[in-house]
Amino acid sequence: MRTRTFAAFGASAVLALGVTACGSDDNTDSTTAASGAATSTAAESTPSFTGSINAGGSTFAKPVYDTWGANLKAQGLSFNYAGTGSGAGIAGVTDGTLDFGGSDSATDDDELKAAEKKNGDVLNIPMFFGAVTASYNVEGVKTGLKLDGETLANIFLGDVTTWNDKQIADQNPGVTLPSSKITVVHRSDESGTTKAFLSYLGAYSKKWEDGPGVDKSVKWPTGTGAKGNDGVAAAIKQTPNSIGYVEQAYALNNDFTYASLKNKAGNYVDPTLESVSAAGDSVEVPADLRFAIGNAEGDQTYPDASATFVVVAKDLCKAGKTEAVAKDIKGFLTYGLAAGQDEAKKLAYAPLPDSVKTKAQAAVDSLECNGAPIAATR
Amino acid sequence: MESSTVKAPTDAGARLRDHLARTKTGSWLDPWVKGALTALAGLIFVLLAYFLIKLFVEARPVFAAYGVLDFVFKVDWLPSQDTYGAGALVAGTVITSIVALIIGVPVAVATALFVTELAPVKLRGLISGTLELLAAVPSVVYGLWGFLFLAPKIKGIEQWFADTFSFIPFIGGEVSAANYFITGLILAIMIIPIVSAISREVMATVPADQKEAALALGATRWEMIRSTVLPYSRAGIVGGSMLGLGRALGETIAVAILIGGATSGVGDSLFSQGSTLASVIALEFQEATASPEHRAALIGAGLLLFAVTLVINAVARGYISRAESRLVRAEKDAKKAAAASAAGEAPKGPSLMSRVPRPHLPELVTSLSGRKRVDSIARGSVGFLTGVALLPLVALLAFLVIRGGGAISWDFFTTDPTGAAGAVSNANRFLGGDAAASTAGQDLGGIRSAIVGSLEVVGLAAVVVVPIGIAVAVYLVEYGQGTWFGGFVRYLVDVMTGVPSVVFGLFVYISLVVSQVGGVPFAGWKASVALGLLMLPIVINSSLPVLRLVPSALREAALALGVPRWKVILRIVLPTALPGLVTGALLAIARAAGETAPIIFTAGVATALVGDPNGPLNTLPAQIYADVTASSSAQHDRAWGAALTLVVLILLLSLVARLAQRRSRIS
Repeated sequence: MRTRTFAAFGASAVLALGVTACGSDDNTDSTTAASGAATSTAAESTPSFTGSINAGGSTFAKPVYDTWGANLKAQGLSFNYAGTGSGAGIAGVTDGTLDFGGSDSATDDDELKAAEKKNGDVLNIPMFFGAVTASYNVEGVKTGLKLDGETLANIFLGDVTTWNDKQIADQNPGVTLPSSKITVVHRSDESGTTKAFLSYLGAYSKKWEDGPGVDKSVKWPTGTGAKGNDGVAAAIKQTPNSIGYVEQAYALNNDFTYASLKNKAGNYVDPTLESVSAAGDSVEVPADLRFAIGNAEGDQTYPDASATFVVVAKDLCKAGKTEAVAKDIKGFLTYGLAAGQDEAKKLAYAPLPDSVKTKAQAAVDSLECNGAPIAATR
Repeated sequence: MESSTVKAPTDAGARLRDHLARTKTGSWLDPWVKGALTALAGLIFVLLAYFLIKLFVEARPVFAAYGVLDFVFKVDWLPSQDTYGAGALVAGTVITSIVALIIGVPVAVATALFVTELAPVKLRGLISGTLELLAAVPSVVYGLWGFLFLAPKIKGIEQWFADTFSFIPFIGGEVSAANYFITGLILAIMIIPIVSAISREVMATVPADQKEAALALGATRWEMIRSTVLPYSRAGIVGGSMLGLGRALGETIAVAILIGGATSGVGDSLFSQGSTLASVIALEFQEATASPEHRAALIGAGLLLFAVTLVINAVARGYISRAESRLVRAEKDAKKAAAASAAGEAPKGPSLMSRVPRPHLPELVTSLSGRKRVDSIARGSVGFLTGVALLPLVALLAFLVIRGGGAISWDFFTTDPTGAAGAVSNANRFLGGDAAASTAGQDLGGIRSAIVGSLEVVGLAAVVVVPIGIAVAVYLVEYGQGTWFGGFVRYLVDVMTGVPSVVFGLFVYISLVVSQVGGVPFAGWKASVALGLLMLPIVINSSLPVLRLVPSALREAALALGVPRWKVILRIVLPTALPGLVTGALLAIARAAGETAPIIFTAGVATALVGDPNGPLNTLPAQIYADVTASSSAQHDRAWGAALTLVVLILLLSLVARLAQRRSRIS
């Protein structure tokens, strides 16, 4: 009897807590309503969720999406993201196996056409910026080497084969370079990171542009491949005298040394919050939001930065998602563009500039379910 | 055995009389039961036919575009340029399998020889038991161990070998961390248990009188082995090796982790990276769905793999059954000879020996001391090779226990993976002075959802497939014996056994996932379907011998008493065979629980604990695969912990299976 009373007391206490919790939710919602639906506020970025989102694609952006998902778990969201590469992310949206796809380069015209055939309009929504680093594992070289686009292209073409090659040494006076052979590590899957990296190479090397070219995957002249940013990071770690390209979070996590890259203005720039953010300053964003920030203008701009996009059907319900999932996706993206930006920063990605963020949020707000705008998640 | 079979009919008889007293009718049900069982057996045909037609139809564009020969032999697989010549994949499959055979077969045969002929009796059970343990370790765990432990450890040796023997073609140059050789080495370790088990079985059938005769004539142990055991069991060894080859060809996840994934060309040395038919399917299927050509090409690769495995397995079975039938013939001859000698005729010893091909090897060493030396060297190397076979197992288990044990805690089993990839260390290098924003360690979480999901997926598959499998086996034994349809179904089951699991995964992916059957693309129950397809032939094949062993006297007695056939099956055949059936089912479940390739195609990616199988589910193999391919060491630790959990679960299942087998009254 006594235990039962105790349990009842406990239950009522929990209930009371629950009520207070609900109460505070209601409050935030009403403030949102009061402040107007057109502008997004911080309050709107903490909606509650009803179900699960199954997304996948870019490994470049995976750490951030995973963190966002983990943060929103307490609000009832079950978020799954498969790090399968940008190509797989776009493919998953096209055939409907993913709720949204992560891709580091916006979809090109062909991909967009293929995706829209089945899904109606498909949006590219920028989420944040990141840096592709040229990371290496060379015994004794602990400081960041200085490299320009042409040298890097020659390394990946297999023309520069040793670490003490004149092209590298000339840019790095005072650094003792070993005579060991360079092992190139590249991606084996279709990757937006690859496209971003190669567009930097292609901008400074005609031989690269005319040879392997700039795409999500190419015919590599040399080197070994690995799947995903993770795979490349692991390969660099395991292979002495190797060089590869990984998103910065992966480079930091593995304590890699990475190069300062020569930008358009002729300066060697390290990838930092500042230099990556700077890449977005001069960007011109077209109406469909398909832009790239590689090799941007500016004295202190990191040249190998990349924006990462969420690829998603505009009318989610017509593309086969339930209304609940549509709401969750909208809530997730809204969170990502608000409180999520700071989380991205902690993970070594750069937040979107305000101008881009507003346009991205407008795109999120334009998501529909069967032609009707998706109601704000309550 | 005798006494136990005598006991069975008495209580079965008592039960029957009891039952007959209550009801003698029910024979009207017989045709219905027969019809239902026949329909279930026919289901195998429908399934397999649909499977093949679906694969053919889906792969047709690529065969139409390239022609079969070009598709198979052209070295040019570049999805980004939409060219698909699978030559490099075929080459990779052949290279890794050859490496596996060259390393694995001698070691496996040596262990079999050691266990059957040389080892002290006490050691025999221990060694063969340990090898069976090796067989129970799932592919993804081999991949994990190979990738995180073996590959970095032996890279130096590989480089030394490549530099020293660079004059040999196809050896030399830069050693890549992922390469053909390391893949072949892991495959070798994986096929040793199969090849060794079959060789052991065959060697155990070598008639003792032959061995004794050789020894009596003054042969050393090794000479006895060379002149009787090896020639006698040659066909069985070849068959076992080919079964091992079939396994190596279709192996997916370990290969996908270890081979690197280069598809555009054949690597220029044994130590460069590449791809196999199976690995390319696992690594590229997600990218391929949106591009019809790419998808067709992957399905074409799957079909090719299936065809090759089918042929290899058929040849292997031919060899093994030849070895078995020779044994039967030899036994018959021996009986005849015994009968003849009993009748007072001259014994016809040579007739037995004449069945065995006599090798005519020149004797190089003829002095007694020389022969003894050869004997001890040969026996020493057989023992050494056995040690070599056991070494990886010891290393693997030790690492599993040490690394996995280190990762395990109470929280490990009671929390779900958070999906977070761990803290970004060194974030300050990016943030500059903004140190305040640096993250405290993110919690990775444990593996609860993976364990529950695995139980869910495998359990669902077992609940549906085990009864169907047993029913089909009952049909084959009770009704299908000697009919063309029964033989046909037997054949289909053998065909199904040979389908690599990755091809089943691909099949379910294209027929259930992409078309979003059930309203969602990835779902736990679709993984159950894939695992079920894999389990079905195993359950049938393991049930058949058990059901056949039910003494026909039992059946006939019951039938003579007027019991309808369906009741005979239900009340006599199944209960008598039950322990054996349970063993077979459990072994099939244990096999399915470790499968990774079909699951990553079908169950999707999930972290949270989900009860509803109509949605993405986390599973242990998928969790291990995801963690081993991640770059953070915290995730590697979780992979070890999850691997230890999975291996322990599988071993528990196998243990229960063995206990059930021991309880079996007929075996």
